[in-house]
Amino acid sequence: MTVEAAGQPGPDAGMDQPETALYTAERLDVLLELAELPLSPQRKEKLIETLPDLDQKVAKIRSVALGETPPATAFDARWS
Amino acid sequence: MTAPDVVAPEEGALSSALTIADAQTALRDGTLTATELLREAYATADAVDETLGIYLSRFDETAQAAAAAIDAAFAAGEDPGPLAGIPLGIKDIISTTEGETTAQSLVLDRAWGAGVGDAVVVSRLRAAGAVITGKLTTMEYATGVPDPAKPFPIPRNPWNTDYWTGGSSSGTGNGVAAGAILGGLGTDTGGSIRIPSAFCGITGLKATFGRVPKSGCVPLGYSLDNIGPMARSARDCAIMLNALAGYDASDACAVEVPTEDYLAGLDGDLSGLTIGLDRLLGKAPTRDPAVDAALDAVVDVLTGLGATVVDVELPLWQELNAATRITSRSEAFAYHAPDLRSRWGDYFSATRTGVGAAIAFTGADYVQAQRVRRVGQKAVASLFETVDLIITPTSSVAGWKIDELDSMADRFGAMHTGYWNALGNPALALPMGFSGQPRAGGLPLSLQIIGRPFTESLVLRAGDAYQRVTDWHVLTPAAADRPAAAVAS
Repeated sequence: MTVEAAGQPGPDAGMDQPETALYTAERLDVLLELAELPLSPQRKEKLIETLPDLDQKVAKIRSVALGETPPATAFDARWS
Repeated sequence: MTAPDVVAPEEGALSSALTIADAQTALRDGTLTATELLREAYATADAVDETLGIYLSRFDETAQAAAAAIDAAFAAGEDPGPLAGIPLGIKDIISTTEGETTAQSLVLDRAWGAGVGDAVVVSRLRAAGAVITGKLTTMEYATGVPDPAKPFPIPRNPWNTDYWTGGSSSGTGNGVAAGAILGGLGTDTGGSIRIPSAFCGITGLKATFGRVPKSGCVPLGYSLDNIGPMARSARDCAIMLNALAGYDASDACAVEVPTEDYLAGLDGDLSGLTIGLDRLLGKAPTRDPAVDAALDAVVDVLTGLGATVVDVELPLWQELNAATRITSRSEAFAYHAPDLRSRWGDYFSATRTGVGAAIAFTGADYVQAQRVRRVGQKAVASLFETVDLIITPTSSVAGWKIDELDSMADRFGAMHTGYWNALGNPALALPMGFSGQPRAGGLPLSLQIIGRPFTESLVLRAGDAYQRVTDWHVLTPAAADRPAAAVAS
């Protein structure tokens, strides 16, 4: 892994949108099948309208150099 | 700065500008009883609820019994608690002993709340003497926008009923603004306390993540959800937070840090504080020019109170907002996937497409979002080494018309709240002006005050100081006016 300073622009910095759309109708079909979420063609059409915006969100978080930063998750072994 | 055209309610009517603090005083000096206060609050609801869509269910019988018990305690010389006799409503994703919890959804099992009883926060409000009036409208499962095809009230903004209240704590927002309740509980995963507070012209606090236990609340985003107070003023939010704050082991996200007396620091003095202002110019797809004029006036007020206001730029703005979206959607999908598979059509249109779209995120995307949150925490902590508080507009717009709402997807950019859910800092939304004329179709504008983690006292102190010298927060919408006869009956 390349060591980067956390919080600095990463290798994908400035990449607001992927060069090609990640979420085509065909890919959506695969994702829906994996999620076991059967939708009618009409409902799929409504759902795919939301996906370009999500493309941008994913591109944004991929643009941040994270270095060795661990995720902000919590777990306490004492929980019962 | 004072607000223009403040219109007093008719003599004899319950002032919808009555605050919790005012009512505390009146109840203790004997000029008002809890029974009278509850009756007037319900009378207001009777007059406006059909139009505004405040309540999903009311607890008239148990509330009247609780108010009578408070009156008896006062008569016996006892002090039944800091919220004694105060009528408060509960957003209907938080469980109460009375009635069903629906999450304003056809999907949630109506037996869900029966197994929970009072959520910790509801128990704490009751222990402080509050009178719980009922369950308030929300967006389905605290996300999305109204769906007219579903059999639930559509919450309308009391300042202009063509407009939405904002979501998702909609009934708490318009209920307080209209005077149907003096305060209530909201929840906030990406802004659901602060946005309806902003659009309805009231004050709402998202405390530090982990400050208020959220067990007994239907989850939306486990690592982003907060329960918090919504009321007319920062002082009222402090009164409520005194009852709500504190660790409880039933919430795995609760943080065991000492609480404070959140009223103790409300002295009106901001001397020596440095406040960073990010106007968030260019960060929203649309911007109401009235926001900038209001911010200029805010700077003048804060400077007059002794603070130094400096310009700052919040780091990683788009990245942290993206992290909030990815986290919220992924966590919500984890919860809803089984029901989405079998009951897609029963969900609101905006809920099912918004939550269902999370199938597009990979597990790695989710983890990366959590790493971005950590990077963001460090960057913002560095900024907080140079300032004591940060202020921004809560939203770049004053609202949206209900008949133009189909989804939130293209509207998130105008709301400046989700950034702080990714980070967890306390954030207070409070009125700072109007776009247009109050009572003539104009809508409130809102300021957001943010502090370092667990500095709710300072955030509330700044909000209270601002409200001591402004009166935006005591303006009342025309929808709250009622004839005196309606009160007397």
